[in-house]
Amino acid sequence: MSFTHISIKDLEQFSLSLAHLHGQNIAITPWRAKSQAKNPSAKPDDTVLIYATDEHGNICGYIGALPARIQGCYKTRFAWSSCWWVKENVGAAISIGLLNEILIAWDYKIMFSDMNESNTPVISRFCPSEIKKRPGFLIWLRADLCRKTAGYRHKNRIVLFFLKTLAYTRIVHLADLFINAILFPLQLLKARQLKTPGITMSESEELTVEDVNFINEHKENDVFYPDTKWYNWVLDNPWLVKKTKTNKDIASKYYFSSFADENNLKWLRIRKNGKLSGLFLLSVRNRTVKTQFAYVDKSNEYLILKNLFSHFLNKYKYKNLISFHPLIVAFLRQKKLPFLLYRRKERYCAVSNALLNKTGKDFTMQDGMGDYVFT
Amino acid sequence: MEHSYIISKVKKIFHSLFGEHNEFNEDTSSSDVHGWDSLKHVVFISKIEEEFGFRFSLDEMQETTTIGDICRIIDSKTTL
Repeated sequence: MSFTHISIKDLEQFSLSLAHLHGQNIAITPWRAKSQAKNPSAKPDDTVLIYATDEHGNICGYIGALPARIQGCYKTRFAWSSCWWVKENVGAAISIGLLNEILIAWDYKIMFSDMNESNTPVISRFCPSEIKKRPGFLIWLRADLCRKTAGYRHKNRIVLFFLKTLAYTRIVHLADLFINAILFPLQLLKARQLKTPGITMSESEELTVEDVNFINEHKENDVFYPDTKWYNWVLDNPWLVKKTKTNKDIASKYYFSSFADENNLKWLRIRKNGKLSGLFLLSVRNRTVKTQFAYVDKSNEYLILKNLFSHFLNKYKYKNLISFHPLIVAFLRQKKLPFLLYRRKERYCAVSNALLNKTGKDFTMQDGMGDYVFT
Repeated sequence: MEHSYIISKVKKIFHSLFGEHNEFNEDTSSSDVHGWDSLKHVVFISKIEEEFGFRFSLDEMQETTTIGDICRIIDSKTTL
């Protein structure tokens, strides 16, 4: 077992190397590497990928780090934990070893934005941290069974074949149409009820100076918040691309997501009487909308959220919503809306003790922190 | 500490994590038990640390692959 560290300056070349691409598993796709190499917070010698190889030289595990800076404390650099994978049945030594290596490489200045119940105890065992739970929702806004059945993974090949065949038949399309034909008019009615006079909404890709000022005013104790440099990097360097013949083979060796037919970022601005009162960075990936970042004028909080959901109810093309933002989650708990399905979810986030003197224990995190905004 | 005591305690923790249906003996390793992945391994070790009141070093955690390995380390850590 050996661990190899890859720095930012070598990442792209590594991802394109024949030795890497011809292996059974790859540790990063070339397009992810290209994106990460342009990280404005990264320095050339930053360790951003550590991989483990077995006795035959095959990659059997890897862990990534996404360099960032604590906003408002710009000199303090840290890394988001990203993409931790270990081949099945290789044993705990590799998994633990990878985590340990990345912690040492970053002097324990690591934050975790997307932990779950099973890996939280592991991380806290090796990296004493302040851990917080982030409850959220996955909502089926309306029926999208054809996409869900097409993308469903099942261990049983017969079941999988059946689901995939079903996905391409008219039956599932008709089921979607039928369900939505009943549901969507109800949603439009509710959207009208929620919409408030004096409120206007607009969407654009651009992050304006007004937006940046608004973010600065309403960021609370977020450990990180978007600025123009960061946002342009994320916008121009996606991790998910359209599938082609060439990249399909490469991506088949990579465990994490590589493709999306649709993967857009947009800022939704909600104005009350012309004044910016709510700003949301939404990502839309294959009809699933995620609230990556949300900034709300607290004096108009309820109004803004009502209109946000009026917006979601109106947008037929949005089929699913995922959010862990506390204001949105609290709103959804109070108000029942005509969506198809609500499913509660939980995420955990953590700031290592090495960084707590910079963030404080009362730090807050948003959905889009770490690598989540890319996927 | 008596070896039989160590075994009984480790067995209890093992079954609580992996289920009563999984075979437990000193040769049992992660490849024999469904669900004993690297994350569960750390949880397993953490529960043992809590039970016996000591900490495994990183090397010890990485080197333990069987129940027997774990019991030997417990024995060495708890013997005066």
